[in-house]
Amino acid sequence: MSIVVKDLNYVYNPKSPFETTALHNVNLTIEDGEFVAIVGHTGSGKSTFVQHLNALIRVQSGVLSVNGVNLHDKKCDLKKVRSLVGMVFQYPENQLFADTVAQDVEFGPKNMGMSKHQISKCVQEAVKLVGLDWETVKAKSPFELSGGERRRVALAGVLAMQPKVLVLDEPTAGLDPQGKHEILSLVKKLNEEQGVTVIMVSHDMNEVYENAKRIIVMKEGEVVYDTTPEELFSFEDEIVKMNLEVPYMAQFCNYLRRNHVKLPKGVKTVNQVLEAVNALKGGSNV
Amino acid sequence: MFRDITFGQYYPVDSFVHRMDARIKLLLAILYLVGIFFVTSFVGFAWLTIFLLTAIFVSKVPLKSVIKSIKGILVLLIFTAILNVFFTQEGNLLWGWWIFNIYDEGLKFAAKMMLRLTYLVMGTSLLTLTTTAVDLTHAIESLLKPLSFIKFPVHELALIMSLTLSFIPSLIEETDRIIRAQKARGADFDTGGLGQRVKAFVPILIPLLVSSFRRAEELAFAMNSRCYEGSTKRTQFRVQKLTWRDAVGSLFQLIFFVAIFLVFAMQTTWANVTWLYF
Amino acid sequence: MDAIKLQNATYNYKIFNDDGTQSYAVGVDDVTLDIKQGEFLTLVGHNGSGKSTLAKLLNGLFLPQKGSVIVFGMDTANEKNLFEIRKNVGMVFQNPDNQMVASIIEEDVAFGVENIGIPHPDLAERVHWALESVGMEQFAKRTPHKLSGGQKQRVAIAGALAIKPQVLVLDESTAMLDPQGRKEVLAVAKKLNKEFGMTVVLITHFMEEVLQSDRVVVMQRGKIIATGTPQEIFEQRALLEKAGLKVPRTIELAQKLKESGWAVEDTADAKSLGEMICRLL
Repeated sequence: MSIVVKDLNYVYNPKSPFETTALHNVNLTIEDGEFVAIVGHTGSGKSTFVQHLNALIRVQSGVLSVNGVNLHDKKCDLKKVRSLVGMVFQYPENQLFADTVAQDVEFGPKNMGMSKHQISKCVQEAVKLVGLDWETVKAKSPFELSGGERRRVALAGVLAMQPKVLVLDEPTAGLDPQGKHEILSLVKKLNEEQGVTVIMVSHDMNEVYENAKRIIVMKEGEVVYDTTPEELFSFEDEIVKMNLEVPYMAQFCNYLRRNHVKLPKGVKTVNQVLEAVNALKGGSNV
Repeated sequence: MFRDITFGQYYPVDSFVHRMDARIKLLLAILYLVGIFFVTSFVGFAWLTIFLLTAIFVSKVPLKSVIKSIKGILVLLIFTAILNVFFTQEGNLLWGWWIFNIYDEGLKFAAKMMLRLTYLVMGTSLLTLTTTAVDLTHAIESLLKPLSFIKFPVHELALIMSLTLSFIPSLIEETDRIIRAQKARGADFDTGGLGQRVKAFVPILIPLLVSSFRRAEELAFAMNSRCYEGSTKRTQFRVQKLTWRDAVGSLFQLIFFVAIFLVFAMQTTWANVTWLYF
Repeated sequence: MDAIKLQNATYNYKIFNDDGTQSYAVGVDDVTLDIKQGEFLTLVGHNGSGKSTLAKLLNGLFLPQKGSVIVFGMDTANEKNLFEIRKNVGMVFQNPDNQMVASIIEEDVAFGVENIGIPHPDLAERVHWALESVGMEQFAKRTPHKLSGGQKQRVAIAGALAIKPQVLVLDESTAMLDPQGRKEVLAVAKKLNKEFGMTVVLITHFMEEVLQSDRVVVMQRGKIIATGTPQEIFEQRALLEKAGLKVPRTIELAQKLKESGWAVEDTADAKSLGEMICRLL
């Protein structure tokens, strides 16, 4: 069970003066339980690509199958795909509409045709999962909550459908450091403890570097890199040339490594780097 | 001269007609609308056809795009034609069956009615095809200006139109985003009865309303911060200047419409010259 | 000289509860702050800390319920002063789409200048100058909606700039932008401060953006909890974390290395930190 993409192509406004290629021969496989980040500039095709994953955009040419469901098949079961692949858009709090938090979160499960019992179970679980207290928030209007809380309610609305794959488009945009940290730890927890496959689109390279296990870089509709964060950001010049940021800790480690300082693999957070540098103390590593 | 146009009919090419002043084009369009009702003979329609075809040719808008504008009124056209054919009971009976009688006058009348409606729509589309919505707004504001003496809120009206125009692209984007987000949560807008479908739009309408209110509030902050205090001491950035094109364009249309009016006026005096009002 | 003086300014939001009672949510709570002419001041705080409310007190969009806000000697509480105050304090907001009034860029930039009654040819000159100052002159005749977020915000800055204010307030104007857009906006703000001597008040929660300012003010729950140079503020890591903020990673690493006995200086540049470490090895 995995996501398989073969020769995926997509053209906007085909056969018109406004014709633009959004995806060009995309080939990749994402296994169950992976944490993948997709990065690239606006117009790189990343948003077109992720919207293919739950059939919001239908396949024009190529093969796309998600957990055995063939999305290139015109008659595939849309409901099944959409409960399989949860999609959290940018600023998801803007999609809240119901009178109460409970009603909003149950919108998805209801549409999926779950039983009453199942719905109430999934909704409560999802609300708890995003770190809100069910009894306090269930009867509240989503519009009474703070910005960070609203985003978590929106996230719960997707999680309540119990997706196996979670696609997030810039889930931390507009949040302060504390809010960012909360959302990212939640996503990490889902990935590590529940085995949910996470595909995250992000502009924040520091965030991507510390959290994702694999990074896909897109440019002009093509996949230009598909590798681990460590390897990707060791190509510092190429990354800079693409006008993307190199994470601070990668810059630091790259500098040390270029000067022949041996650092262990996989040091990415400030504390990991600190430990690694401290381990050099007194040694003759140069 | 080229402007990215976001919606509407505007056909982005650079032509004589595109470069004419929007106020003049608006006035000429009004003259055209009025003038068209003085065309009662096929000779008049011939004049009108030459005028319209020349204008379209000079505007560099493909004839196909102009003709496309009739699509919207096609049903109305057919309906009026049928009504006119059967309800005109003058002239020679050409064909009759039960209560349906077709007279030659009926056919002529129906044909003229169809032509009139078609030319009406084609002429006004030529205005919107060659003039951006923004320019039209400015033209309306400046033509309505005299009304501000009787306390008609011309500036406010123009501001509302301009704010609406600038809001439309982001409103479309926002709507699209919300629809996709709700679809991702399994929302279904395509199946079910009417009641169900109407209900399906609530999850789109409410977020849109909320975001529109927020936009209104933020826009008010932004306008206040930029010293907006109504129309009292405002100056105008846009200078509308008439050029030789406006003179030539106007003269061209005036000549045609004087001719059309002459044909109309002489129908009665030269009643015996049948070809004039065939 | 002080551009803006806040004296015990307080602004709370009224909340209408379901049961018909009223309560208050803290916006700005008893804040006293002098903003000096020509300085680059950054105001940081978590979401809901009151930093954006404070911004709206600076040009009389909100009026203090207690205390006062004096802009170049004019009290915002006096309605007659507001026009003159807003001519002197330009403001750019968070959402680039929600502050455009026209669908052609130069007409949008002209809006403020029209409002203060500047006739041609000055009007056209100011619009051109403002667009040039933010590097957007080649887009003058285009529609804003096809621009990137960073470009839209630069147009919004031009719109404020064309009025020729002495103070420019950027009210979370970088919050919705990608790293590229943030860089563009910050570069413009820096330029206006350095080249035109404009007073800039930058409101943000990105701690990286603090680096280029002369003075930093940290807010938490409506109150100012720290003021100082970026260096001084970064040294109070624990306090910042309690306020829901984070020191940039490189500075955090430098500080922690120092604490572990490495003789390094605080720096935000990862490469120069690497250089220092290499030299010590």
